Amino acid sequence: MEYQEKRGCLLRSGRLFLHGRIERAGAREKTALVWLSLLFLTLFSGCMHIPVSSEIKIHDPLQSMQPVEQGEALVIYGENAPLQKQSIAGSYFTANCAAPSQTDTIGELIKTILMVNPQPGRFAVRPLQDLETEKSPDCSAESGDSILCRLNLSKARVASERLRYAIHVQEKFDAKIHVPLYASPFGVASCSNKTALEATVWELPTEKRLGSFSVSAEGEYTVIAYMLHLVVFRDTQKDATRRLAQEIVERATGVKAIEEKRD
Amino acid sequence: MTRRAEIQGSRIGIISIGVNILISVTKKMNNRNLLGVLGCLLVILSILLGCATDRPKDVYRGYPLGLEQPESMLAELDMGAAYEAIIDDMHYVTQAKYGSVRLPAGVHRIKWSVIFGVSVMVDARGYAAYGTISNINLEAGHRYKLLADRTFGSGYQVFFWIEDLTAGKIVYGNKKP
Repeated sequence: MEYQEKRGCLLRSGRLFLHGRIERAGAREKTALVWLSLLFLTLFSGCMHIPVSSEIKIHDPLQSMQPVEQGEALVIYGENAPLQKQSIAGSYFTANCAAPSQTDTIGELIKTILMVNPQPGRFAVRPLQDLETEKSPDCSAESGDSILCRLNLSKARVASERLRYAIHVQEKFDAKIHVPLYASPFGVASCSNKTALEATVWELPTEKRLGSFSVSAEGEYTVIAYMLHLVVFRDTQKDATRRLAQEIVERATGVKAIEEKRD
Repeated sequence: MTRRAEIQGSRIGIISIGVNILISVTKKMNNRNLLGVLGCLLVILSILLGCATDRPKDVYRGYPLGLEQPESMLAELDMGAAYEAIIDDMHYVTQAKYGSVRLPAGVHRIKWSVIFGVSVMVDARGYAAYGTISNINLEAGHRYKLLADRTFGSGYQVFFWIEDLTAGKIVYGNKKP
């Protein structure tokens, strides 16, 4: 009650002050006032980003992984979500809210695994394309479908380079446009984004498939603009990548991954 | 009254006192002075906007915890032009946080990237990232720096090189001519 009275008093005094000054001001002062208001509005225009965490779900039918030894490596490979084509008009009126925030999720996952690892230097993370893959001499017609043959890795190489687990990651990104009413610098745009990352794990020395697990992140990306752009966004790709990286680190080391952003 | 409402009430009280002072001061001014005061406030605001300082960056220790080595056995790698680096596929270092990395002497695989501002005709984002992988032998007690530069116009080229600042020589890549 007291708070409301104070607020009412403040608003009244502000209104009276403004009203009195405008009434007394001449045409020149009024023009100056308009210019000053515009200047203030310009100062406060621009973008205000409000990042919000996505809703994350984990589906986990994976067998347990034995913790990696000091100096062992994980091999990461997979497919990023295909880029969805959107027209220039579509991108404009939706403030590009349906566009993916990252195009190389596999590369980002590798960096994130290293970032959230609480014991840096304990294990290496190697992208498959960095391993010079030649035709494996171990592959025959019968064993052609084994994981080592598929990755063109020999048993000798797996042993010498201490490659412990191979993780295949498949990304799916889906965006739905809800409100395409944005025309800079005014308007509203809103899209729902969903990213699903499915990881399948193999133990390379035994060539055993341990199973797969998936992480999905979902959220609404909204832009509200009246010169000042208020962007409430859930970066589902980043959130899913981070969560998957944490899950991989926890399963591969048996130690809790770093929660907070280190960088 | 809850604690939150109390804080809000006292905040409103302070604001209303401030507004009353402002009203009494501005009533005594003519319009010209008032515009002058507003102009000064805008100038101060723009100065304050540029007050952010670059905080000193940390040193990343590129070896496992518990395997600390004496400083004399380490080499130092200055991040220089690199915005991020992955060392020996084990350590991710970003220039936003770390200015340099201390590594045990020996051969290291450094995967590093640089960012250049480019025309939007080249890349719609206004910047382009380039990366390279360097396998180099770091000597104990030496300081190295990751450096990169590019050319402009047609025949666009990016140069990556690593300089041994202690010995004063280039140990990887070619410097931009």
